[in-house]
Amino acid sequence: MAPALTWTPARRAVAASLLFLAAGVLAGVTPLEHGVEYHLFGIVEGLFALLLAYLLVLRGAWAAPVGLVGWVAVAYGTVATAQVLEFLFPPPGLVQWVVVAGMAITAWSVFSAGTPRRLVASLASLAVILALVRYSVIPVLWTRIGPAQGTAFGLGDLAEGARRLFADWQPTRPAGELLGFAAVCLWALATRLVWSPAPAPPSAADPSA
Amino acid sequence: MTTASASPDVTHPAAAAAPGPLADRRDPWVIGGLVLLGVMTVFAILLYRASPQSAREVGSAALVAVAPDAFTPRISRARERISAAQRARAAGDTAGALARYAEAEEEALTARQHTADTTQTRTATELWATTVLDRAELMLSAGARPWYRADNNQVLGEALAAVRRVQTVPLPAPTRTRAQQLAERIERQMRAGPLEWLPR
Repeated sequence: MAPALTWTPARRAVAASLLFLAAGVLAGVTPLEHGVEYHLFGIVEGLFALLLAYLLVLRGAWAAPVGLVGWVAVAYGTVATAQVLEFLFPPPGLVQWVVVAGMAITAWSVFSAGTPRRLVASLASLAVILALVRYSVIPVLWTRIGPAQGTAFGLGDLAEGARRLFADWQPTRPAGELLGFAAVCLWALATRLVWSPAPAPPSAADPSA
Repeated sequence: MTTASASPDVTHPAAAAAPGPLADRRDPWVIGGLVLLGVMTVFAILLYRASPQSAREVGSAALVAVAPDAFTPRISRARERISAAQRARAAGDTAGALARYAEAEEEALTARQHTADTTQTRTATELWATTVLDRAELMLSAGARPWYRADNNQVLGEALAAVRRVQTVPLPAPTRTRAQQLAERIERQMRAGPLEWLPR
């Protein structure tokens, strides 16, 4: 009988890297009304992903990288995080500036305290809020603010300009949100694979405890 | 990724017994996984670079990548590009349709350079000519304006040049007739104002 597959940390890191890669690829695919767009993260998402990766390793949600395989997992995880943020962040415009500036200012105090579980729970709440803004608030406001482009004797064009100032939004097909959801699930699964072990409880004989 | 612990912790998977970095390097699962990761990364980069718009497009691009000098993959790719152009045209995306037609022309021309017999040459030439005429027709409708407004003569001139290129190669009679009629339509459209209604 063949021996059971043992999940060593290196194997977990490689499996997590593959899942992070799949998450990153899926998060960037955006089916539009006519065709498909492939989004790559920008500087805002990249810098925020670096900050989050640092916090995830610091708080132990991602195991501290040891060896080449460990660093590979962290690198792929950072890229996947940036791609997921590209999927979740509001489109460029005033809304994005407000949201990202607010997150950047409060990030350290919100994410740096507590256990890894609390950190991941905070990230999940943040993801829900970002998804709400991007996929519920902006589309609803977009269709309500002013006349459509090319209508109302030029007023529609003015309204379009104002809308683009707030958020340069493009309507997407529902399949896009499904792909993004799959990407977030893969990211969470990969994070579970590289989850750092909890520190051993202090023993009664340990004087430092 | 973590240091080895004396007793594997079942609740925290990463705490399972770690054999050490040297043993990891010899682990076939790790090596295989890293190779797979490298291949998938290259595939992801190529996918994002090519930006295919459908699963069919992925297949045709892969065929061309596998056999870049073969006739059949190039012809399949050209036909797939024509389908993509027709979809874009039906959706009202004129610029996108023109770009797809241009890609199809290029693929058909490349296929023509890799033919093995006269039948293949005729097929590739016919496909190329049809694609050029489709593109010229689309350019004509994009560049033509009502008689009281100036036409986009640059676009019409490019369309006429494309049709003239088609007329220089040997083609079946229906395609030749179509090219002739299209050239006449473009020339008539390029006349000033209401003169476009007058016969030559």
